[in-house]
Amino acid sequence: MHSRVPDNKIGRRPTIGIYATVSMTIIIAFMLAMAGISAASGEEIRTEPTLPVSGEDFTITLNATENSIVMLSIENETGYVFWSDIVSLVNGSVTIGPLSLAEGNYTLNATFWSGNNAGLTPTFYNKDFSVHPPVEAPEKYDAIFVIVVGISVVFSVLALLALFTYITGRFFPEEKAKPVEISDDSEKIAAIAAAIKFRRG
Amino acid sequence: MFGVFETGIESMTIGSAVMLIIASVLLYMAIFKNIEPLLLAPIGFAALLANLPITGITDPGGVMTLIYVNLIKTGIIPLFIFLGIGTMTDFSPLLANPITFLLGAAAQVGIFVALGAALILGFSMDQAAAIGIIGGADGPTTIYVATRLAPEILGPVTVAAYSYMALVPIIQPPIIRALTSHKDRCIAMPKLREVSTKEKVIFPIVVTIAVGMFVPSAVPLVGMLMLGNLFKVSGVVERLSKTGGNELINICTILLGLGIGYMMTAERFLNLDTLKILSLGIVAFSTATAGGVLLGQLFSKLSGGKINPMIGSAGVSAVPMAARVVQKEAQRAKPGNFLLMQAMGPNVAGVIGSAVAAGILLGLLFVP
Repeated sequence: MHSRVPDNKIGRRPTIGIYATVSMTIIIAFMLAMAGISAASGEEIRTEPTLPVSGEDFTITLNATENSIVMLSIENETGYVFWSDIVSLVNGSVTIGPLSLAEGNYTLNATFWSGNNAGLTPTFYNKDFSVHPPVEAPEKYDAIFVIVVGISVVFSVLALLALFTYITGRFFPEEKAKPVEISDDSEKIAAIAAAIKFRRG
Repeated sequence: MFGVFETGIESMTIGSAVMLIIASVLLYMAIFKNIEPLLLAPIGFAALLANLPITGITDPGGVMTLIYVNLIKTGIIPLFIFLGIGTMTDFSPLLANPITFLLGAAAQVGIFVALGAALILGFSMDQAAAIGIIGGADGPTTIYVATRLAPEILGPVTVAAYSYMALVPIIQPPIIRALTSHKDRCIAMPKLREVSTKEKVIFPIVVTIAVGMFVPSAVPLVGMLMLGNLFKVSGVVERLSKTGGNELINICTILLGLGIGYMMTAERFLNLDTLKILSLGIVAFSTATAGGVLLGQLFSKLSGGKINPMIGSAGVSAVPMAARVVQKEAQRAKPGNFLLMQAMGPNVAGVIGSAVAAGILLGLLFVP
């Protein structure tokens, strides 16, 4: 007698287990690949604000995923490097500045000096940038307007007050002095007079 | 010192040393020359405190910082001082001769001339307005406007305003004499009529409503002035009137001095702008005086010589110094010519005029 071989025996037909294993392998491989890509793009450099204004604080922020040393420099439109610095990063970010830049166009350069990325440059968000003059809010009113309106309104309001005051004075004229009341004191006066008369007498 | 604690000696800067000298000069003027002692004494001493190094008194949380931020910058103290001034002001000479309102208005021309000059000298519009208001010759008004429009120049603006107010007896007479003849200065004016109590009571109410309708931004100043005056003239709140004119205004004056002193640190005060502001203060006072006298001349001509043009100069609201100057000049020209009460009309009108002018500038320029 032959025993029956089950249909789902490995080696003969694909099973659910094989499908699951392959799928998981592919998923894990994909996740590792994505993680690798993410790690590779982890180093980036950006300036704040992205539209800097002369006289205002300006900072450079550098993010990295591993210990590294980076050399940074800023050159102006003539290619003159007027600022440079070497910073070390320990698994995180570092902010350099605040710097204060004059108006003009600038280029930011950065190079890794150590780590797996040594010799490479980080991803720039704004490698070339311009520093603009501060935008002054326009005066609300011009000088002539303020002076003319000011003088006119002062005269108008005070003239109006003069008119009101004049009218009030006409309605409520000077109070007449009250007659002197002597009745209350008449008895005292009479008593004093009597006393004087008594002494003289 | 001795490695135990830090002393002010090693932290002293040249700027701080210069400011200590300036503070001493202000104290000298107040104490030995009697120049606006009520204001210049506390301001001078506060400037001295503010410029002593590492005391922390002007640091965030320091007592002078707290006074400035909470009481001066918010406008509370200048307004309470205005209330106190109201309790001490008698508007009767103005009520008896309402035309002098216009002389008070004419003297405000100085504000706008100085404003224009400040713009020419490179100040911003807000700063120019704060400088121009020096021409109003009214300390609390000047401080109120400066804290709102240009707090960065509060120190020099205040010092200029109070110094020139004290110098009115020196600044005004040459201008008066230049713009009037001897004959003009000899004009005698009739005695003013008596003013009824009802008129006096109605006046602060009418003024507040009228100013509120036409220049709402002037109401904080004018309203407080008139509230104080209503306390005085109503006769029913004598305690409040006395408090406003004594304890309240005295306490506010001390706090005002300390707050202004806070702004008189070397970095804020020692610069070219301060010299420009002091110069513009003279322009403001001089043109204000001239504006009042010139309109006085016009009134004199229109009235057939019944109005002495000198009283126009009292429209500069330095009460009562400007009126006293007129009296002194009248006596000088013609002994026995008494113009003090006639000059008090434009003088107190100038107080209202400068507050209205301040309100106009704030209404046009102040952004909360």
